[in-house]
Amino acid sequence: MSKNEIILPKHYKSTLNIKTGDWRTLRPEIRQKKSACQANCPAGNRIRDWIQMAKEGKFYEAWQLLTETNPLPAVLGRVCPHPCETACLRAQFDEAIAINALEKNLGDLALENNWRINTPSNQPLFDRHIAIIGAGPAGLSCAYQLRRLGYKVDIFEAENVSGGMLYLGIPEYRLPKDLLRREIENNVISLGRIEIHYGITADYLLWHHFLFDFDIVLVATGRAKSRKLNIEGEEKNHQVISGLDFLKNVNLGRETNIDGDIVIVVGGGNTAVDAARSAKMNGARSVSVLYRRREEDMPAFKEEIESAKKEGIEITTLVTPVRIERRCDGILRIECIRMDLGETDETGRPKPVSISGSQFVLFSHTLIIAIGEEPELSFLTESCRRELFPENVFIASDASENGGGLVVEAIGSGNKAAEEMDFYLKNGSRMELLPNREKPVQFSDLNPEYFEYRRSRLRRYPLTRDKEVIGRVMKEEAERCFSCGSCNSCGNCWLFCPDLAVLETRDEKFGINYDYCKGCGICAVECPRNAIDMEMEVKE
Amino acid sequence: MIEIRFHGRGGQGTVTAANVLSQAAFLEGKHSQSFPDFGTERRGAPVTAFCRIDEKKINIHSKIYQPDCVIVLEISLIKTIDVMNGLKKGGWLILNTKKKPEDYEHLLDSNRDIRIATIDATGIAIVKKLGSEKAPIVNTTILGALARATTLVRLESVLKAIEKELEQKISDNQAASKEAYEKVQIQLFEKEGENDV
Amino acid sequence: MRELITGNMAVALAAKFCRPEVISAYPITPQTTIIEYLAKMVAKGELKAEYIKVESEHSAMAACIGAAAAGCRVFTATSSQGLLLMHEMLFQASGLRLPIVMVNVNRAVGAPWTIHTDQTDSMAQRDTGWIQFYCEDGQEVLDMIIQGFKIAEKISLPVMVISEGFILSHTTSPVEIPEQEKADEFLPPYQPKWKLDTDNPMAFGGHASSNIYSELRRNIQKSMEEVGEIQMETASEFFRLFGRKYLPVEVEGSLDSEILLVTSGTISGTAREVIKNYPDVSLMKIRMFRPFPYNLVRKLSCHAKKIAVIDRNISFGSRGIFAESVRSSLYGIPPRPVFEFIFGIGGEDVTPEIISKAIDFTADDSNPYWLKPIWQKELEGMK
Repeated sequence: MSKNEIILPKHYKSTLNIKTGDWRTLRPEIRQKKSACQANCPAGNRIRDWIQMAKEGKFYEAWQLLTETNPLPAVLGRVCPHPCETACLRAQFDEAIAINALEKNLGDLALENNWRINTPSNQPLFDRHIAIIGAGPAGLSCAYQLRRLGYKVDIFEAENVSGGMLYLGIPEYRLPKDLLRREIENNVISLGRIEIHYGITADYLLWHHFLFDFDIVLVATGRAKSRKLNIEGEEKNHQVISGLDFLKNVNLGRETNIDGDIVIVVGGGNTAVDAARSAKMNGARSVSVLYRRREEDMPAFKEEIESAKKEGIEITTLVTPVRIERRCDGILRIECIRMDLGETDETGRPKPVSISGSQFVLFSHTLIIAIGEEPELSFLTESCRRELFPENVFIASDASENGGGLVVEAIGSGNKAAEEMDFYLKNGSRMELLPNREKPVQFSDLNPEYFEYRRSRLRRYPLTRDKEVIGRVMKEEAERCFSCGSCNSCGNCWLFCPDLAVLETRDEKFGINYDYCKGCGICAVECPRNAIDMEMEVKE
Repeated sequence: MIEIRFHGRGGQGTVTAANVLSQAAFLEGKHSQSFPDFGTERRGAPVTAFCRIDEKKINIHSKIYQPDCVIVLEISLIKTIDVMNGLKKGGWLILNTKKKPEDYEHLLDSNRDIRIATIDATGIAIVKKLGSEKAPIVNTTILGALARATTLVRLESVLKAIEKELEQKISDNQAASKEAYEKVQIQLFEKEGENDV
Repeated sequence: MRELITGNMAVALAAKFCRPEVISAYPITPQTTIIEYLAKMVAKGELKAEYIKVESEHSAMAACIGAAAAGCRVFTATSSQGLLLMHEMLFQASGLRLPIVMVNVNRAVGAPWTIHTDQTDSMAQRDTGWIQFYCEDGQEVLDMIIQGFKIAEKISLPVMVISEGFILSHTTSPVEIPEQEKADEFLPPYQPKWKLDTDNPMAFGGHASSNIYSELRRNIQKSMEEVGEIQMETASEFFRLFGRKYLPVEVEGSLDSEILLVTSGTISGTAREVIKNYPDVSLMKIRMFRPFPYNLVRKLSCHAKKIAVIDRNISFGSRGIFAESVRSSLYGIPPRPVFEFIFGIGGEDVTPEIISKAIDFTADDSNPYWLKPIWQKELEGMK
């Protein structure tokens, strides 16, 4: 046997004792950043996050998260102009995620399966008196948010239906009344502690000093006033009607008296197109739309314009009426003028300029003016405000001059108002509004090499009714989401980390083990979705 | 020490022939050694193999340059290779051919006495279905002829060695070997005249 | 029992007798048939071993290292380029003190390509910390593998048994096959001094600072210095059981001969035949090349008047490697001429004639005291 004692190159101490993390000068942080879709949603919807859940096939959880900021997904999924999709970074890769269609399908699923909003069972309830004037999208969403916070809410609505413009301004073919009713009932009213008083106008409330009984009041009357052309012959003429009034009549089932008429609609927004299509559906002989800019400048949904054209509605662009005259035979003589394109205005579109001497005349039985709506706050006079406590009257931005006029903006304004009101009720003072400076993730921040080209199937087959198929297509659509700026546990950092310092934690999330992370930054460079930031290590 | 050199083509079983012969001698209690002269072998390429047989332990590891016996498994090789190279006086040349030994007298130098044995091993192998008809394997057959001609090893030893070295068609190979043992034609060529052995 | 078998078969049989638990190898001419035989034995159940198929020799040795570290008896075989590919892993094996036994079938290395034998491949591994035995015939290969395991396991260093391509690997010769019981008696199951153990976790071969590293290297060298003694001890044990004796160096003929011819491998066999014609020439065969038996070589050659070394290898820019080692063994004794011959490179046939010529050349006093090796071609050209 060997006399020399053999020494082996072995050791029992682990290299784990050497904490290489203290070599670090830069520190990776896994962040939840703002995604472009979320940043562009006026309601602040956590789009990326509920899509992440849908990706995992958890539609119920996705719906719960979706309804946190939007109580009416089935409705919004039908009528929202989806600024989120416009901002979606995937649009720069192949095609934006069909967020709106996903939202609609989740909303429909919830109605089908009778899903209920989760409210904490041991939630503290507050017995403060809150009044909301208007049961439109802003009023409903504010009431909904306050209810989720534990408040009791009274809503006063002038009409005898809830939904406001959703009910009155959008025709049945675009948004079925039944669906609207059901979603409001299921997602808002059924939470309890929300009472809607119908047929009570704001004037009535003020006249009877009703509002003194409330601790706090929200004015959410939206945009009830139609804009006028301000031309000769527009006033005091029952054949000239605002688009909103016309749609209200249609939606409330009132007589429209346009059977066999020639109808001219002025305007280029959704109200104009809705009014034109509704007029045609209600028996108008011929319908034409006059718009002062080009067709591509029309704010109405493109598909609505296409449908209108298919239905035989003529769209005349670069034209505006200048004078209306009611002839003795009851026919309107409408003097119009042609427009030319001028310099770009503040909306980014070329400003229309009238061409002198280009006047021509059109004839019609009815003229519908749908050139936009504005807030109606005339009831809230100075004296009225003074009588109330000024600081406890809130105005939803949708009902003020600052609002944008979209349904989703109304919802967002309701959410915001609820937040401010909650702060006021708890602190007795107004919340200071700080502008959010966080920039959303840009396309250049991403690593598109990690993604595969795959166009949207949901966008192409939105109407499939087969439950199994739609579930699969939804999941597939959700899987297209880049999850910009949010860790979705893809594990790429874990794969790349040369120091094995990225750890998979118990809940399948990834974390960084700062004991051994040397701050090389490979994880941040290789993160497909820019969810990791490198920051200066603060050292003493 | 007896040294034997085999010439054949890749695929004919040349190396196995050397192994079987070596095994046969070993079974008779002799020391023996067999080895191939490897090149980059392919089917059809000329192949050389060697065998040494001795009563004492064989230490030598070089190739064989002055064989006592040369075995040609493929007759066409006599045109391309000097099969007679180094063949000792009184040695043996065993050819696989249909012809008679005297037809190959021209291979000999005038001053050497060499014994030539011929055997149609190809014909026998085809009948016994050894290998394919196009490429028959003639190694065991020719060893039968060698046993008869040279008496280096006994036929029984060859048959036993076949059993040991081969894995299949043992009885066919043995039968071919026996047939060759019977059919081999032998002739001694001396300096003057010819003598039947 | 005596059998007429090829050198490669002798290797496979020897491995089988040693009952390795893990075999991992990658085929390469002329080693291929060794692992084919072994794979067959494992498949048939004759040999109860784990046969690990790998994609390269590097991986083969890596697998062997892993298995040996886990406490298994491990065998592998390779040749030429394969051995060169293993090079890095060879250091790991010796550094980790793993008693792996490997057969290398000598084959010259490219470029240009060749499959024939010379010792360059194994000589290139002389500094890897492996014990090396050069063998002359099938019997010796078989016996050295069995002894190799014993030596390796005693000293905790890997052993390389070296056969020669075709001249030995594919040549049949009578080999005495031991009985399994006897082999078992000689080589009991492997009792590792240490092994990987999940219950007692530790790291092997991790980073070491210079002072620890040098200590570990010195430890290997100290063990290497002991190998000679262990080898003798093992050889005598083997002799008692099997009746065949294998010493690090063997001498045939008298020690105070006129010329001492130094050889290794199969050339020794041919030289044995040649010196029968030369009463004044003795033969020294070096079996163990690493560790090199300097003292033994000095003792056995100090009475010879002239020394001739035949090398089947060349260290470019130096000389034949055996000659180099023999020369350094002779340091300290009165100088005598050492003639060096480079024979059999790339399978060049080393005939009795050329060996005779080398002896004649050495014997001729009119020849200058050569400081340069003489190549086979040069000697053949001389009259």
